[in-house]
Amino acid sequence: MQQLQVIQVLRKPAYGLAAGAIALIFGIMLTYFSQFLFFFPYLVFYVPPEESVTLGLDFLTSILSGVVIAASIYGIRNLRKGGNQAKGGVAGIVLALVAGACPCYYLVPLLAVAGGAGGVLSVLGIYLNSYQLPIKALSLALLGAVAVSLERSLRASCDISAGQGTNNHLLRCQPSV
Amino acid sequence: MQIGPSNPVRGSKSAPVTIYEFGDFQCPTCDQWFRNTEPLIVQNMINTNQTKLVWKDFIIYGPDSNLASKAAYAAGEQGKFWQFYDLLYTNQKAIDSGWASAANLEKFAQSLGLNMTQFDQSFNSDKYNALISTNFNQGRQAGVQGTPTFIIVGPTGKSVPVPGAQPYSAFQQAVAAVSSTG
Repeated sequence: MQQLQVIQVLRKPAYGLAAGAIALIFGIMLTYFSQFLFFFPYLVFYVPPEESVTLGLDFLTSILSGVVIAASIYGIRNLRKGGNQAKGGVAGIVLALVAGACPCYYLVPLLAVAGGAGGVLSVLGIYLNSYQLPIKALSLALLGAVAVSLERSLRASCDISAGQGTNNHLLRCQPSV
Repeated sequence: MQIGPSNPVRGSKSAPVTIYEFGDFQCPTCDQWFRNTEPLIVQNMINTNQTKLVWKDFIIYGPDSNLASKAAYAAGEQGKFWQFYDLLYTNQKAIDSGWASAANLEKFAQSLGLNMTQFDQSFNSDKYNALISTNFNQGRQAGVQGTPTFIIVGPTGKSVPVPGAQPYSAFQQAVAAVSSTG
């Protein structure tokens, strides 16, 4: 069975570490905004029983964001070797950031209070708050689509070979036609 | 932070620790706290006269939140603020979807067996507007940025803010911190 090209990218230590770090940052951010993680007045991680689906979506979004952004960076760094990856890479990063930012709609009502903006921001916050799960699911679907697109892009222009006798898998990109 | 004469208090007024709840009856996270954390606080802290809970409106979720607060205060005039509070959170639905419309709030009042003439008179008046506005301003002055936010004040005036629908363990720690003399 052929291995996924995105996984091959992540086997390179630098990209694997980058994916892990990005996933961790997104995980902390999303669980904070979902009010599972509290820093003040004490460090507390708490998931109410009815919120396990939300937590699952947050974790999946974080992991997929790490994978997509790391693989997209790989695509950009191989600009000279394969132009398609670079385009896909930039799009991947932008979309992953957008998808990661979607669940941060919790900020909107806070901004309305903090900034005294009231009106429009409050209404927007209320509207978005009513669609918490669909927004998170949409983010995840968006990331999934970007991951599939990246996989196709890498598959089209890269030749993967494993270093013999080592665990280092080398991913060599060839100029795309 | 002080308890005004119009602020509803759950528990003994002589309890040494006060938990101020800045909330909005339409706020989903407040409802989450009401379902998961408040029962433990009532059972272990309020019923044992260790703490009391004081309601302060912090309305940010829309026009029906204002109606819900006014209705709760109107029920409070007949000694049933906290029953109404429980009823509101138990029946909370999507924001401004009609569950907290004036007609529905009257149904809630009826279900509690309130004197409806007295309830309507209070509910339809402007008498609670100043209180709601004062509570909001107090919250902002205390640094409240969203709902729910709790400010826990000990017998010496020492206070700890607890923002969000945090679990019971966070309240235990905060109550212990404001109760300590050190």
